[in-house]
Amino acid sequence: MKKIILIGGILLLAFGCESSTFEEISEEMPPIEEVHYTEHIKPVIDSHCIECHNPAGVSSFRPLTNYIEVKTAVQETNLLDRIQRQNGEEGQMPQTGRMPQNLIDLILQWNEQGLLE
Amino acid sequence: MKKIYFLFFMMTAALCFAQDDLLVELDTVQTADTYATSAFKGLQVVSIQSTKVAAKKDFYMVVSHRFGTVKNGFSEFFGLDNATTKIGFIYGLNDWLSLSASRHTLLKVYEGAAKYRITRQSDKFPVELVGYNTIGINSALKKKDYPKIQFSDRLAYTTELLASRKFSDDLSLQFISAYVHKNLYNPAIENDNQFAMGAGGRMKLSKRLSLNLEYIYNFDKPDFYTNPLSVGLDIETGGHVFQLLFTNSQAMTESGYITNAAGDWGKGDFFFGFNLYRVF
Repeated sequence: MKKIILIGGILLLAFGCESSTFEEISEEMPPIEEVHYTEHIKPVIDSHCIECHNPAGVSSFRPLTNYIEVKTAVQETNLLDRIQRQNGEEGQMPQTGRMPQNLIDLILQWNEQGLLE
Repeated sequence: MKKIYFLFFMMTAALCFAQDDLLVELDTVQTADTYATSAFKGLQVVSIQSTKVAAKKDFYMVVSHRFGTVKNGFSEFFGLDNATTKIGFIYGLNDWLSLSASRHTLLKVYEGAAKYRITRQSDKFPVELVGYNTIGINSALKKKDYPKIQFSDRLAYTTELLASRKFSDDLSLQFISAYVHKNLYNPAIENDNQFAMGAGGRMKLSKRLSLNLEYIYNFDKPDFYTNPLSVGLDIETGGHVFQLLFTNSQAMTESGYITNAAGDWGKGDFFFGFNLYRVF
């Protein structure tokens, strides 16, 4: 009997949950007219990329610590493609998990507007 | 009156999973050698749980690795540059229930799990039935990125029913049904509730070696991910079971393994890994 109660309890724990999407828990950002590296992009890169992408990090071969380096990564290596890949996809960045969509969109907008400093 | 009691007992027994076990518990004389033992030597078939449950007071340490995809060859040394790790502990509370906790590199997940044997394979019952439940806590999501995140959004659950039968000393097969629920999901590539079924097996090659195989078919999966197919080699050494494996699903969390397989065997996109168990 004890066994049945315990198993029942464990099973109960596993059901009855609501679910939400990544979009629902993200912040709605007010649209930015002109995206600039220093003002908008650097904070994103600093919090998501430079942990590895710095001269002393795991990915020291491709540092993303300043405007020129990030601009080069967008233009010459496939930064935009890498950050848009889904979790689990080969070469997806950051490896710890996809960035929130609004930040990905911000970087795409920065590229469309000419990678302003 | 006696007859009514008898009928009542028959009915409850028919309804209840633990029928065999309870009867056998009463009947101590017969317990000695009617059970089929060790259908699987490892606690996992390859990556999915097997019907083996840690014995009472057994304490296991688990270290598992899944390396990156082998398809990039030498430039990433066949995936060894991109390793993910699982470190965990399992404790057998009693003969049929064990609890475990583990930490995974992938998405910084903490996973707690309970595994419980419902019936044993014996002369009277054809299969070993085992339940397995996990709760995964994703600690990689940052409040800064997702300001509206709540603790419950980090959770993912799996409920599994495993049924195995040891056909002979050399061959055991297992049937798997699994239900995965994710409190947080990406509707572009996955569903929040997914049901999957699969099968696995173990074939002994020699005294200390066996070849294991498993495949899971996911019924609620959009096209993005694939179904996990894994092949492994169990190597037994004193006190250790060492499982070498190839899989197309890199995740080691139960929910991730079943629902987030990103590799593709057909394109040579699969992962090398191993599970290492140490019993104390």
